[in-house]
This record gives sequence, C-alpha cells and structure tokens, in this order.
Amino acid sequence: MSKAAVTSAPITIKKRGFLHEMKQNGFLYLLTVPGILFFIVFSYLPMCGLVIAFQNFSMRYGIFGSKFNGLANFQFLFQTGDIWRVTGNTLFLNVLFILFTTSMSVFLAILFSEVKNQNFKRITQSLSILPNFVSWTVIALFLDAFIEPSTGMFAKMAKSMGYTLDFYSNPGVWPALLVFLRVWQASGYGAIVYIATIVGIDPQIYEAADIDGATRIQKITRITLPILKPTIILMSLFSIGRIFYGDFGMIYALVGDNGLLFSTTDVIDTYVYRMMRMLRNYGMSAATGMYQSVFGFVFIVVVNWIARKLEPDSALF
Amino acid sequence: MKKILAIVLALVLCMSMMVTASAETELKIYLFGQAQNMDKVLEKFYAESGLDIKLNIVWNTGADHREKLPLLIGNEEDCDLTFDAYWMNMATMIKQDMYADLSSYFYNDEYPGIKAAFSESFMAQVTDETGAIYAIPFTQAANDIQTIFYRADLAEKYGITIDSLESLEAYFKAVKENETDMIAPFGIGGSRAMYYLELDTLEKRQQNVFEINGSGTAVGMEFEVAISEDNKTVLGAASIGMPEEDFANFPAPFNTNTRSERAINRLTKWAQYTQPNSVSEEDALNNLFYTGLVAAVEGNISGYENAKREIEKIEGAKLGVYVYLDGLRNQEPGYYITTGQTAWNFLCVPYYCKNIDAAMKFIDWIFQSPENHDLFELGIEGEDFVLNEKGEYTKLAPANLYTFPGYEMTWNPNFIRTNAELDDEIKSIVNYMNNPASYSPSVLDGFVFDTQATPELVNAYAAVSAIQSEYIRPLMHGAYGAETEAKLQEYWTKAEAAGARVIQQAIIDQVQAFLDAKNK
Repeated sequence: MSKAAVTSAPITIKKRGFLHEMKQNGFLYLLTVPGILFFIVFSYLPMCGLVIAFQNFSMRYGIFGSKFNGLANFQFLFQTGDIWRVTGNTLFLNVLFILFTTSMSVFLAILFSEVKNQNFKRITQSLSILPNFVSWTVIALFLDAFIEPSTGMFAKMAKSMGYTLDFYSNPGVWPALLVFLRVWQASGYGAIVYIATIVGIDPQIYEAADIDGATRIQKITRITLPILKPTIILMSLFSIGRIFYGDFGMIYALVGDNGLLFSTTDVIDTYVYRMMRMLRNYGMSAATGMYQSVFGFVFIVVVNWIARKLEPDSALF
Repeated sequence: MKKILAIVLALVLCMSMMVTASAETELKIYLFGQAQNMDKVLEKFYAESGLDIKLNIVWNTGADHREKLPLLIGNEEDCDLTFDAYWMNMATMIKQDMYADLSSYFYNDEYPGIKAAFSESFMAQVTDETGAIYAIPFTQAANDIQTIFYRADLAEKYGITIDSLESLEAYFKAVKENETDMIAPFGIGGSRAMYYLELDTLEKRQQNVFEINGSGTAVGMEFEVAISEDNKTVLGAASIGMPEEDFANFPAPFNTNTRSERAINRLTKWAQYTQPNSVSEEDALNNLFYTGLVAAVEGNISGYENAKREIEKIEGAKLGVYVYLDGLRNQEPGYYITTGQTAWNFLCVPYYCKNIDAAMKFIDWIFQSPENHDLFELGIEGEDFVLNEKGEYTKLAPANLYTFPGYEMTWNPNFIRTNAELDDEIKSIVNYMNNPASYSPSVLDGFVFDTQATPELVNAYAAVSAIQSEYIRPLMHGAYGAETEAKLQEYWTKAEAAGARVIQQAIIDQVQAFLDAKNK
C-alpha cells in the first residue's frame, strides 16, 4: 500500500446522540444515580446554607427572613488572631497524622505480607484493625486511666519514684500523644488497602528477583515499595483533601475544654464548636466553616496539581 | 358489603369525633436534670386539678438542654414550656423573638394563682420597657448563699472548727497530709472553679462597683463597672488583666486591679489544695465530693439537703457548711445587694406555641394553693412528706419517694416551706437567705448588657469571648501557678487587640444611658 493511500483514507467518527448513548449504556448511568443523589443531598444542597455566613442569622426568621450583614461574621475570626493558631494546629496535626499513620500502615502491610504463618498473620492483623472500632470517647477513658494526674497508672508510678507527671497541664506533649493514639487507632485499618495492593503484585516479579539473588530487604525496597507508591500517593491525597478538617471526635473527647492545652490542640472544628456553644451565633460559626471549606478546597487543588506534576497517574483529577 | 363498610366508616367517624371532643391538651415541657417517681404526682394532679391537661415532661442533661433547645425551637417542634435562664440561652432567645409575650397572663384575675404568686415588683426583673414578659421566674430568695461544703467528720477528727479562711486552710492542710486515699482536700470544677472564694464582690457592691456581662449575670466576662455615689455617673469600667490606670477612678480600695491580684496571689495559693487537672473536671460535687475523693467543694446553701443526703451515703461521713463571705456568715441585714436580677431560673413559652392558655393555666394551678404547690414541690402529703404545726416539712422515706428540681417550676418567695430536719445553724442561714430584708436593691437592677448593640461590639464580644475561653478557666482554677502573671499579661495583650476596649466603652455607654433614663 502506498503512503499516499494510507494518509488519504478518511477516518470518520459518526456522531451519536444522547438517546443512543443512553440506549447503549443506560444501565451504567443508572448505577451512578444513587451516588449522584447522595452528593447532591448531602454535599451540594447544604452549601445553600452557607448564605447564613453573610447574615445576622435569626432562628426565628430563618434564611429568608434574616438580614444580610456583609462580611461582618468573618471579621471576628481575624480579630482574635486565633484563626491562624487553630489553622496552624489543624494543618500541623493532620500532617503528622498523615505522615505517621501512612508510614505505619505501609510498614504493617509489608510485615503482614512477609509473615508466612497464616494463623499468626490472621490474629495479628485482626488485632491491629480492632482499635479502629473503638470510639474516641472510650479511648479518652482509657487514656485517663493511664495519665490522669491523680489516679492514672503512669502518674502513680511516677509518684512512687518521686516524680510528678501531669500531661493535662503540659501542652507540649500533646501533639506526640495525639499522633501516638491516632497511629494506634488507624494504622491497622489503613494497612488493608496496602495489603490488597501487595497481594495483587505478580509473584513472578519476586521469583525473578529470587533468581537474581535479591535479599528480602532488596525485594521490599526495589519491588514492593515502588509498586505501592501510586497507592500511597492516592491515599495521601484523599487524606490531604480533609487536611483542613480537624478530627473533632478525637480532639474534643481527649482534650475537652481544658484551656491549658489549647495552644497545641485547638483545631478549627473544636474552635467552631466552642464558639457555637458559647455565643450561639450561627452566622459566625457558618463563617468559620466556610473559611475552612474554601481553604480546604484551594489546598486540595494545589496539592493535586503538585501530584500531577510529580506522578501524573496518581493525581485525583 | 357496601352497607357493612358504611357502618364501619360511620362508627370510626363517631369514635374519632368522641375522641376529639374529649381530647385533653398535652403540654410538652422541656426541663433538665431529673425527677423521680413523678407518675403518682401526675395522677393526683390529673384527678384533682379539673384541668383537661396532660403533662409530657422531657428531661435533658444540663449541657444537652442548653444546646438542643435553640435548635428545637428554631425548628418549631412541639414545645409548650421550656426551662431557660440567662446562664443558658435566654438573653439571645428573647433578643431573637423566640419566646412568646406572656404579659397578659400576669396580674390577671382569670389567673388568680399567678396573680398571687408573681407580684409586679417581683416581675419587674423580666418586664421589658414595652411591658412584655417573656419568662416566668422561679426562685425562693433573691439570691443563693455560696458556701464550702466540707466533711464535718474529718474536721472533727483533726479537731478543727472551720470558722475562717485560716481554719479552712488548716483543715485542707490536715487532709492533704493525712487522707492519702483522697486525691485532694478541695475539689473544684467547671467554670465555677473557686467562685466567690477570696472575691470581694459584695464589698464592692456596697461601694457601687458591679460585675457586668452579656447575660445579665456575673459569670464570665470579668468586667466591672464603678458608679458614682449619687448613682448618676459611670466612673469607669475595667476587667481582669487590664492595667491599673483603668481602675484609677474606682472608689478606694478597689482602685487597683483586684481581679488580677486575686488570680495571681490568692487563687494560686488555694490551688495547692485542689485536685490536679481540675480544669478538666466539670462536676466536682457529684464526681469527687459525693464519691469521697475530696474533703470539700464549693456549693450553694440551696443544695444543702441534697448534699447531706448524698454525703451520708459514705460510711461515717457528715456534712459541714462554711459560709465564707463575712457579711453573709454574720447575717447582716441588707448586706446582700442584688444586681439586676432576682431569679436564676425561668420557664418560657416558644413563640409558636398553640397551647399558651393551657400552659399558663397549669402554672396558675400550681400557685392557686399551698396544697397544689406542695404536690409538685414535695410530693404527696402523708406519703412523701408530712407538715408540722409550723408548716415545716419532713421528708418521709417511701421506696417510691418523689423528688423534683423545684427551681425549674415551683420555687416562689410566697410558697416557701422549710425543712424541719435542718439543724438550727442551717435553718438560720436559709431563713436569712429567704428573708427579703437581707437584700438591698442596687442601682443596676434591671440592667442587662446588650452584646449586640453595634456590629463592632458583636465582633469584639465574640473575639474576646474566644480568647477568654482559653484563659479564664485556668486562671479561676489557679492552674497557671507561677506563670499566672505572665499569662494574665498574655491574655490582656490578646484581648485588647481583639477589641476589649470596645466592650469597655460599650459598658460605660450603656450603663450611663441606663442611669440617665433612671434618673430622668
């Protein structure tokens, strides 16, 4: 066939209409409906409520009856200077949580995949997942039993050795304590995704490595970890998407209203809750929530852009 | 078939009409805390009242009640009466028109019980400038008396009679050294912390220096205002943490920052006797004192009977009471100067309530006679309590003893019964508290600081409140220890930047406007 003949052959793509598409893939589209409805009802419709961030909102007169007050509700946020501290705490703690929990999850996944004794593997894996199902309120009680300065086990041990141990008035130790608890609670459950990825790795790759004389460590660092990398990035991106959201259930259960610890533990969510409880000002609380959402959105777009530059396959969009 | 169907439908229609015709009004009432064995009292009420009213009382915990009710009323859910107070949501709820105006039910011959129990002078505290009344106040006395509840058995054991702050400290020392099973001598908690201990509030009121905050109560903002002797001019307003010059115009000896001084020197001294981590404790009375973990707590004399009952559940334990404010302990007539409100607890009716008449008829019934009142406050006579010839009551101990938090619905200065079993010392304190002659009116009676007067004030109040939420509780617990002075400075730097001066000026302006209107 001549070159001219090849280039001159026209490739025509027949345009097909919406109805044809529906006829061809209607069932697939139907499957998306519950998901779309879920997001419309629980994520998009509630956004209309953000209007109260710009109102002097009154429960009596509702969204349509309350008067608009421009950006006044946002002013108090920046007037205290607290917003920078709680934003900083939220980001700092979440970065630590993501970093340590992901590392520990990957570490556990590799450990579990290397263990050959099935019974031991099953039991340890179940035990590592178990803390994920314990509520933060219960964990707070456990923690109290250990570190409460009068009756806690550690405090009593320290007292018997002539030391005083009072975690509840020492804000410096709390980031480490919170990270420890988060890692204990979440890394076992987080390992499941990585275990699934490892299980999906073609065994022939490991066999080839064995033939080439690779050690176990070399197989982990040269095969397992590189294959896990896109999953790690993807999971981290999911986590980063919520980096502006402090874990209210965790931090409020553990810290409560202890002002001595706010300098290192107060996150946006606990701050909003406290303001709401204290001031009953729905407009100001909505303004804080909106600040959190807008900055969270900007953050995820930026991080996704960076991820796409570094590892195009791992970007979310 | 059609005939049978028609007959059945007709029967159903007739029955539903009968039900409708005899339908009683169900009042849904939201309260907090707990009553016990209330069913028998309700049955007696239904049988004797002659009102077609059924009560459906929903009990919340205190914290839940405070958080739930604004949302519940905002959603216009069924609610005919609800507990509220300035220390909960009342000021904001009234400001947002969430409660119905009840003024037509007061001083009204159709409601003789309400007319007899709630006089115009008593209702002045909740009557606004337009004559509207949004809340029904419940109180026996114009104020409660703050005390220290302590373990009298331990005081006896160490041979200490607690009659001064020095002897109180000696008691704490003895407990700290010897009672190793206890976590501390003195249990404190919540925002109450050490409350009036070492606080010269009443002495200040004698010299026209008053606490101010947004809810009309003295808890929280830590601002004080000084008024001239002739009650016409505001001399100044200042708060904890502020520099001394802000207090310069206050009458001596209060012309320095006494609040900061108390936080730095006095509360930190007492903090050595409080439990570690007191800042995280919300309810020292229930969690620490009644469980025998501490030897003393802050309390109010109105809670004496309950505290006595609870503490005596500990083997060998006896309750002691120390009134730590000198003027009150010495029961000086007119010593207790009221500050703008005489009740702490109220019932309100949501604006959309369809059963306001029935709700007010029910309240009216309670106050129509001492017998009706006793039924809801004390239970069934002869079964839950008996009265002696002086009209004092003695609680009986049936298995199904009725208890009810009277401060939420029955307390009234015209319907006070004293417990015959109180010892003479306590009876004397209670009588002093209930005696109107113990109180003097203040120039600020009726003043409530409007935190929403201007957009600048709204923001400043919110911003300073946010900062206070971090600092004030530890300060009141003496929890900063040696760092207290530095923390106060840190607090004030932040509070000033956040708009504390706006609040200060607003207090001066609003109080001056109030005085001007009063002196017109």
